[in-house]
Amino acid sequence: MFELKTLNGKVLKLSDLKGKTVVLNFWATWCVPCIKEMSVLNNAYSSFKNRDVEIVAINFAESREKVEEFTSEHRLNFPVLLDNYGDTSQDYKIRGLPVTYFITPDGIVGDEIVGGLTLELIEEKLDQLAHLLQLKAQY
Amino acid sequence: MLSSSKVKTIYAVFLSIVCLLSFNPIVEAACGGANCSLLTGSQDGVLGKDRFVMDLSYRYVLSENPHRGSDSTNQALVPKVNFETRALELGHHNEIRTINKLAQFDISYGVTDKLTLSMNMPFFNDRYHEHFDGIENVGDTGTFNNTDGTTGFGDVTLIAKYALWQTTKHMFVGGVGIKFATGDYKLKDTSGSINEPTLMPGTGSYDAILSGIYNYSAIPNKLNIFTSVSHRFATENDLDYQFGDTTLIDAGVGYVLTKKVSVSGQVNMRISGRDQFIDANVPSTGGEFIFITPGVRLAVYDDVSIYSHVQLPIYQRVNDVNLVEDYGVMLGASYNF
Repeated sequence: MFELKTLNGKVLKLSDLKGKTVVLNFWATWCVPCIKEMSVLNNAYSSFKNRDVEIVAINFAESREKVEEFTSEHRLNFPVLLDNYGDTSQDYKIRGLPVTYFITPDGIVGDEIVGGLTLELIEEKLDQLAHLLQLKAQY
Repeated sequence: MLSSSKVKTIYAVFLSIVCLLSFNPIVEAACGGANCSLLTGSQDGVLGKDRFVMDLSYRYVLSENPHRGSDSTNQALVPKVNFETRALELGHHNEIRTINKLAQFDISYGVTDKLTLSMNMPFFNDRYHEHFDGIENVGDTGTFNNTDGTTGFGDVTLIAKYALWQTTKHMFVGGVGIKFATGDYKLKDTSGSINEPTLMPGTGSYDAILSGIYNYSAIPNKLNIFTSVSHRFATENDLDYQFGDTTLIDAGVGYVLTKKVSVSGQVNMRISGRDQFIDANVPSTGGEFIFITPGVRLAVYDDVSIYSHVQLPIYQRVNDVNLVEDYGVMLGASYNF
């Protein structure tokens, strides 16, 4: 559902992450609530990487330079993608920032959180998603 | 005397400017405690909930170019509407020059995230014009007159705009409005008779306005493409005079150069119907006009910006004969809070 460039110019597709649960965060540097979430996402990246969870952040329509400056200043440890023209944000029907999607290993959006992200909330959503996937596998 | 197309020009410029003002290419996200909305709609004249925009602008429009149809001609001999005798006096005077100056205050309020109410108040109209009056026979030059201009408060317009379709990159806003008869429309000329309707600060009629604006955010926060259509349904005033309906079609782009400077370019088309007096068409009224309108906006502070637009004609066709616009200039300042 997305195919975007990372800060170092490599292309990352959602299909590249098939088999992993993806926490997909949309953000911008001018969005104060987004900035507050970045440390949460950093912690989540470290905490859940052993659970086959990938944290990916998609920046909404800002320049590479501005995003690079921000990521180095905030020492972001997860991949950041550039949605230069807002087309991916359009595809995901983004109406406000930040918003975080929880995508199942087979690429289906399972849940979303609009603002107010915490490590506990991410864990709760991941657990719920894992539980649903277990139920789905059983039936 | 001024012809009907002059007031139409003023009104159409006013309406165009409503569209111009509503275009603010700098997308300002409205952030709450936990979320920043991307759908502020500021580029379409729809504000976020509880947001205000106040705007003060000044326009200067010069018309001194006589046209017959779409071609230049050497004189613009136009009729007088005589309200005392209830007659049209054809070939009554020769238009020389008209200068319209208009100061306007606009205020908009976001009632909800989708609904915005706007009031446009042209609080100072100054219409200077020159013509040769008293032409009775072919070949007469008439008497030079530059004292029949008017000054006064104009017609207030209320407009409700509603965002009918909003996505991350697309927005369609519909609008309905009413133009009230708040301006003078029975002022007397230097001879003591009711002046030409076109000279008045107001039209004396209550008109309905329908509009639609589509905006495409090609590069969010950087490049917007937009188009708009509006139509004014004019009604007859109590002098039995009815201005022709006016349709405005605009298309343009806005580009953010820096955080503080943005530029825009538009093509504006105006189609005006003929005026009517006691159900008869008034000669030398109505036509089709196309302008290009470059503009620049400078953010002085986070919530204050100043702007300027220049409107240049690229095609103008009048019914019969009349003066057409040479250029228009607009300067303004807006405050968002």
